[in-house]
Amino acid sequence: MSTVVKKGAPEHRMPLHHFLNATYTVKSWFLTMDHKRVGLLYLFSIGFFFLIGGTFASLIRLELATPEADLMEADQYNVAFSMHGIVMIFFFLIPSIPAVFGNFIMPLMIGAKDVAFPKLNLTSWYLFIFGGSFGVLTTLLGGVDTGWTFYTPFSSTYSNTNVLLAGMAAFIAGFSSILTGLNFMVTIHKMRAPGITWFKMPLFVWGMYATSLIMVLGTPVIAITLGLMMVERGFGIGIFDPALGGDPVLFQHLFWFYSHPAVYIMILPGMGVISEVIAAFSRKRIFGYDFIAMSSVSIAVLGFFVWGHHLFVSGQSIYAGMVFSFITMLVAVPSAVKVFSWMATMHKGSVSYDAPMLYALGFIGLFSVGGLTGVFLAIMGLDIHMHDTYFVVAHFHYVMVGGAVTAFMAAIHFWWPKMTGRMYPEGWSRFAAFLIFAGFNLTFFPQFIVGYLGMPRRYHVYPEEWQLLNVMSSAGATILAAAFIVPLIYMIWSLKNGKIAGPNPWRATGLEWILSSPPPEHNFPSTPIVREEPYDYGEVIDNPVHKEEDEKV
Amino acid sequence: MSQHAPHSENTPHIASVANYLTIFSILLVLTAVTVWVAFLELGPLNTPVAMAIASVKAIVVILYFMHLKFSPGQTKLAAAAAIFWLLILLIVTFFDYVGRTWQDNPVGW
Amino acid sequence: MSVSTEAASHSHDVHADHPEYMRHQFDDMDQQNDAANLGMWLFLLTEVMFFGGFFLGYSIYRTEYYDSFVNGSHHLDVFLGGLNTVALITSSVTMAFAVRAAQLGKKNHIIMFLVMTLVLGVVFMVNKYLEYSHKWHDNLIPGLDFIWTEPGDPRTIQLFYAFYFCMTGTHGLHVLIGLGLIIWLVIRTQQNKFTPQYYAPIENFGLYWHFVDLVWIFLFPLLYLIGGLH
Repeated sequence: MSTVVKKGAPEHRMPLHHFLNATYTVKSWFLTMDHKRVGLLYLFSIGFFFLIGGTFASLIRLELATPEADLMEADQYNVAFSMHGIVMIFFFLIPSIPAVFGNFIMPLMIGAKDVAFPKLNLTSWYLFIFGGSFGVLTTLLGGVDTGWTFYTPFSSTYSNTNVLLAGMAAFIAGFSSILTGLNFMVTIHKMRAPGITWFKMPLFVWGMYATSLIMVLGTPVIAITLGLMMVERGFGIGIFDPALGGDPVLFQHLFWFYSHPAVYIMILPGMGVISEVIAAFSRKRIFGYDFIAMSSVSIAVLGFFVWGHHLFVSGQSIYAGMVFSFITMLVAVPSAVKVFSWMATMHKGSVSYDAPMLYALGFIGLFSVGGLTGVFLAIMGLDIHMHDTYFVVAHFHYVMVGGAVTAFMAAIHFWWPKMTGRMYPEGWSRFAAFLIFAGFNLTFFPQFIVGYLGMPRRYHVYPEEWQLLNVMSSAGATILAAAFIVPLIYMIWSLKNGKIAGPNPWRATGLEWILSSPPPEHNFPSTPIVREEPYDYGEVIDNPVHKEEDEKV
Repeated sequence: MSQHAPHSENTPHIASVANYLTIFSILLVLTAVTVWVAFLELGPLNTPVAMAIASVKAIVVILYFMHLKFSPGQTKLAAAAAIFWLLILLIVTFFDYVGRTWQDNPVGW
Repeated sequence: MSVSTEAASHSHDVHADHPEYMRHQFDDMDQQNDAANLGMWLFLLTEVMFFGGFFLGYSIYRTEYYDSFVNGSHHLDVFLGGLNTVALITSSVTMAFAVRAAQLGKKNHIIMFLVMTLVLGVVFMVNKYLEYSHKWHDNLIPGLDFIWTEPGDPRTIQLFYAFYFCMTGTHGLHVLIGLGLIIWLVIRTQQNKFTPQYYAPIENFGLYWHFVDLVWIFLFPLLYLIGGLH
């Protein structure tokens, strides 16, 4: 089941006036206060950083195809994985879904005219670009070799690379994140249309809210941590340097206090997307709405109590480790609640396998693998063996790429028609989804094995006996890299040549689908009053009359 | 949703001059107390006492100068969340350091 | 899904009802004021976490190197610190009165109280400058020219001063930013931008200023009054 235009029904036309053709000037884009345009500005920016981060990933996998140091020396390899991590985490993953879809779609979903503070929203983007330019400068000047984790005293005292520049990049990008989170929280608290109570909001909005909570509460701590590390490096003060009386583990505490909740910033928006997509492509009301909503907030809150699981082998006290280990296992529960709810939603639904749904199904499987391997690592005894091995690398790539990036792909395929008014070619989109899935698993599953066998991370050489698994991984990475190019091509192609989508090509519920595709500049002509429950798919199936009314926007 | 009206329909709470001056006096007195207490030799109690006095001053500023007492529940929740999250950072990290002293070979403490 | 779009708010064409200070994305002033207020409280929440990192580091090291911290603290000027505390508390009072004057629409009083707040803030910064220059003369700036000639462990005492400068410096930066914002508010008040129906910038700046006072309320005993005085 694909696009909606029935035989004999009129073909859709692009709306005459929408937010893209309202004005064409450069100023109207770079001084925009339209959340939709800000979302698109972010889309281009994070796409750019994804390319940079991906290039570093290619360098890593190229080097690791052979056991010896063929391509790079140790120092250069350290730069490769550090830059890969910094760019991918701070400049791609953390903004991704919130900055693009949170900005574009969330206000539409709640019937708002814009976010609460549009000028602040634009400022967030400029801060992101400003921080990103520090990141680009760092890259051009030879990068950093501390790892994205900036552990002291190497970063603050001994490293000879551009630590200050890289620290500034992350510091500034952090403020972008804080302001976006603040903006979203106020928008969701104060600007929901009449009838959209907390427990009638789409689950994507719940996801955005929980994510914003973390952004607002956690990011300031990493700001100050990086700040202190930079002060130590610049002034030679021993805040974290043991030779000067400091404690390097304190740095790790402060760093991970943010960086663990940060991973929930990366996944919660994705989970919100998956809820939307699963419901739409099962044509069924989401199962367990209340539980999914509350699980988002639980993950956000509980996520602040587990950071010590990154410090199990650092010298942290065993007793603290026990507590962190226990709570880490608890935090898996709300995620499981979501997975089971999604599966229950699909049960006896009318499932169709368009690209967004393919990505959503991929998400459920891959995120489950990634999440469960996280529980393995949460067990202190296991972590002693697996810490700093490729098992950890595989775990977090399963949740970050198999989870967050897959959800991003689901989101862009789901909302592309809304944002651009065009459909992409269905066959190619499904092909790309399968290719990405295959490439991803070939890249990262061998890493679980080789990590369990003891291959350490952040090393550019390894014993010969592990070469086969590493070659498989590098081959997978090649396929994955090529696979990402396919959607890039067909989506650009679709801008001029894609079928015109109309307001609601997926016949999904949600306020955003009432508006034209692309939406008008000022969103709704007047604030809507909502009377339906969210995900009212049951009605649509049972009552054919409604179907036609839906299309008559 | 309230009807469209450019003017606010909620009348804000306007504190009295006396109220503000009372709070001011309390703050000045507590400042003097905290300096005076610093001259007393209370040993390990000096810090908790100083923090307790500072907390009282803070609560008074937050409730009355920042009008939290007269603010909606959401705002009170935000203020409470700030304190709660700060405490998580402080207490849980301290738990690590204190826990190290319970072990046979405490490191770094 | 069926949605009514008739009732709620007016369409975009009718601008007559929009006062100049009402932003387009809001339906009415209540919503705008609520949003601005919540926004400022959330911003202060982020500031609490920002300073929280400092407080954590400070607390850990103070517990670990208590004697050094006491030693270092004794070289701080309690008089200037105390004076600053009184100055900031008083400035909080004058700021509260400025907001009250805004609620009552008394333009001259708003300006008077804002200027008083500004003056007290300047007093604070001048004292800060005096303190910092004393430290410079006494060779107590970590990383630049830290020389400790008296008994005690210079390594860990330098740590105390690192936190002293980082925390009071960051706080001082916040005060400076506040002073700039007060000047901006004075200008806008002078231009008759505020009425009893619209004074949110003054009120929300007040929240920021009280927060700056709050941080100092904790910094003063922690840095200046450790371990008793003699």
